[in-house]
Amino acid sequence: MLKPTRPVLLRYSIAVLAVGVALLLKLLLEPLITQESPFLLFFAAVMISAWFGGLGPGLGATALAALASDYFFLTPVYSVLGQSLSQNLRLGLFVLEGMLVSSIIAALHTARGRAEISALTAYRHQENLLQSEARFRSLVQNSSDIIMILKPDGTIGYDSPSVERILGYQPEALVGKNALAYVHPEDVSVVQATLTNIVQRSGSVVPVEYRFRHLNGSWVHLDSVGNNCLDDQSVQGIVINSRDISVAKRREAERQRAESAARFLAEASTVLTASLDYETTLANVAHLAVPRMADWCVVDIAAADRVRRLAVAHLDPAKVELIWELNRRYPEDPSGPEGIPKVLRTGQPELYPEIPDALLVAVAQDHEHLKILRELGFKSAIVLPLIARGRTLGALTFVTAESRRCYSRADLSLAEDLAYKAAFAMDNALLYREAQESEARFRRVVESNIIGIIFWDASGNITEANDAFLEMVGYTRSELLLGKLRWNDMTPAEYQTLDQKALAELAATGACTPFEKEYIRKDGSRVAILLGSALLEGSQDQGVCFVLDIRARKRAEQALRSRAAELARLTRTLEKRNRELDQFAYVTSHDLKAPLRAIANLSQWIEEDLGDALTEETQRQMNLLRGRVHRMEALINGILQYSRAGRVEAKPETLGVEQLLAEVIDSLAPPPEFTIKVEPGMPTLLTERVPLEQVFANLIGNALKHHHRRNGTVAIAAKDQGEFYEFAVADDGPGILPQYHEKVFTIFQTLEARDKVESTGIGLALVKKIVESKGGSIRLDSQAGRGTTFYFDWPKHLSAQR
Amino acid sequence: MVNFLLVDDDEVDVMNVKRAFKKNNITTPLRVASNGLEALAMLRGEGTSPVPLSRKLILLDLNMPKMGGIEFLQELRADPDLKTTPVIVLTTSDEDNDKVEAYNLNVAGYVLKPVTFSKFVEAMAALNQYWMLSEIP
Repeated sequence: MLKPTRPVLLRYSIAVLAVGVALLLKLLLEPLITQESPFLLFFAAVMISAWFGGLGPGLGATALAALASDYFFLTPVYSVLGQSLSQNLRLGLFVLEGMLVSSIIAALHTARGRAEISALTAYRHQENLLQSEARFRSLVQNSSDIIMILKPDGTIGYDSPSVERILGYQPEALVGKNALAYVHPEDVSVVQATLTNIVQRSGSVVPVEYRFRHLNGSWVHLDSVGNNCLDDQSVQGIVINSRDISVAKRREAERQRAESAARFLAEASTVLTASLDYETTLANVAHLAVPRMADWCVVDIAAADRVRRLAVAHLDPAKVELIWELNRRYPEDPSGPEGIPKVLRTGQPELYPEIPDALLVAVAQDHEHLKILRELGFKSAIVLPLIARGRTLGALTFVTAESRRCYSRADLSLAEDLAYKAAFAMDNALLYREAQESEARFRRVVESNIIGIIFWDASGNITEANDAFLEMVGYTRSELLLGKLRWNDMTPAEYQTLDQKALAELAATGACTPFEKEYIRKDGSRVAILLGSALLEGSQDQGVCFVLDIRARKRAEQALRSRAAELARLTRTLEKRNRELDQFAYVTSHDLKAPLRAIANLSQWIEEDLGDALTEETQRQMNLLRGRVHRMEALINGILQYSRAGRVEAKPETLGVEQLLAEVIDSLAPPPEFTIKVEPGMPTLLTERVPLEQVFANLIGNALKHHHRRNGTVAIAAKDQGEFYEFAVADDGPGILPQYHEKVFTIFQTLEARDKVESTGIGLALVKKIVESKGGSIRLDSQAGRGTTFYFDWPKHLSAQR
Repeated sequence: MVNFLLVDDDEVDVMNVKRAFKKNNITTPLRVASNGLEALAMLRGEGTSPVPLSRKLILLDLNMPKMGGIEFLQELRADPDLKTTPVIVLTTSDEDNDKVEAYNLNVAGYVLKPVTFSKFVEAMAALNQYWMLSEIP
């Protein structure tokens, strides 16, 4: 057991050293001590060596000491050999004693080592025991696990202190109680069965999970392992080791909730993408949320300046109509302080974990509304904005009532996820609808065939065309589909430059100014069109064209041009006729009058030359001849005047009609018995003098000339008729019979024989022509024997004239 | 004595003037040309009866064959030797155009031929009177 722990070399060195020291001391003390005891100091050296080094070094020291004594002290000194017998005997005895002492000391030494080791071992054992117990106690007391020892019937014999920490009870309080009484009623049967199982099979370890009632009444999830130690004399019971797994359970529950939420959201995604109609989509959301998320759910959208309810879902289908009705009666006020309107305004979700009555009061629009709201029994609510691309499209509202469930932050978070998905789906649906509507509008434009529409590419293809276009160019749809229509092949050579210009403009600005060109139809004829084009968005070599058939317009333009040419020709003809007429009038005035004058002159010269030879009868005939000549001259003058009336234009001047009338009347030189009245209020006009003068002169002159009495009366009046003045020339002469009212205005018509009243029948025709040429009209009012009134209109302003 | 040159194509009109002269005891020689060309020839001293260079007075009708009165006036006013010759238009034309053109060509008078001879005689008498008075200085 005792192993010399010291190294061999050290032990033997000590032996040598001890012998050396003894020798040195002996030599130093030589003079003081007698020669009789040469081995005195060497015993000590042997004993030290043996004590220190064991038997070996002891014997070694003995041998060395014997050698040294022999050499130094036994005579002969300084020689090993040659000693006397006694001295050899003394040396032998010394060696024997040394050997003996060494043996004894070594034995002693070994025995002491053994005793020490034995004592140490005993001590260590004792210590281990003590430590183990403390550890065990600490383990039991500080363990998060509960250790119980139950009797087979479930009575608690021992429970570890951790019971207090985990279950709230003082450990002593449970002792003697039946553990089953604390188990959750739902779990008792399992626990009972497990316990029975353990009792029947000694040493079995069976885990079981159950709920144990905490002192405060809540349930603690325990995971227990039972060990049958009924046969163990130190235990004599079933050791139950229980662990609190509430946290793990909670985590598990959370994990399950998260999983369920994820499943719910996944399901929601499926539902949300099922329809591209956003109203259906949102109704689906509402139905999806009930009862998983809420007792009832409504979806509202922000429409213009009001809030429109789109979907309602309720646990109780009977209440759906009630909520609709409520919304109809009390639509959400867009400026409301709380709830949906607020969320629509702010775009921030609102969580109402509890809905206090005050909130209902704030939201209610009147007493009745408040009453209904209270009856609905709101418990908790979440209102979420439906936001897509930064725009609040609507609000999703979850409400609990019947379930008495209160929403938490976790619910809000799930709801937000759902709202996000719903908003996304709604936005997609809206975009889809917009795209569809846009497409439909576009389709309508294309298919209405009001104008031709084609889609083209830069290489000359027409990829799509509507019927209007196909009809324009005389191709069929199947020919289009076969790719037979190519716009550059259809364009006549002389229009290629225009096309190139348009393409350049398209490349530069994305659109081209509409221009006119022609396409070659299938039958080879040409169709005139107006064409405008724009590149498709994001494309450089594809575009859309509108094509307008302008053949009709071109024809109309052509017709218009030929009409204009015709008119110009007519105008030229008319101008020529007018010139001819002028020429005619001129010729008449000169060439017709010249012979007349000659006749007049010659007749007078004949009269003069005959002198007294002229009979009275001849004289009268000569007078008649000249009378006729004068009448003819008057007729010619009348024709001239008539042809010029309204054709010769003079410069307009400002005329006082009263002054003008005075001059006209003066030139007519009426007989003194005749009365000519000019009524007051004659206007001042800016007009041509001569025509108006002619009109008045003729009318007044007629009244004088045709009057049946010498003392007749003529009255001239004027009346403002807006654009015109209406002048009236009234006489109290013989009057004109109704059947002649039209006829008097015809040229060369006279009512009396020319011999009775010298008249050309030109006057009224001339008046009518002048008045009408000024844009006015003339009429007469007359009864036989009651005089005649001529009315005529004369324009106030030149602009009203023809 | 004034040398009258009557340019008129109408025989009755020429007779008319002659008769009016006679009636007014105007003994002034009266030469007659029947159109503008003839009148120009006479004025330029061509033909059988040239008109003396001085103291001339032309009585001019407007409507004539070959060369009308207005054309004649234009030729006359363009001729440096003749342009100062006084001209009195004696015509039946009451056209404004004719009057304006005539006056633009610097005529001394514009007399409309009256239809009756007696009136013409009066007109000629007045004309002669006026001319005589103009001659005195």
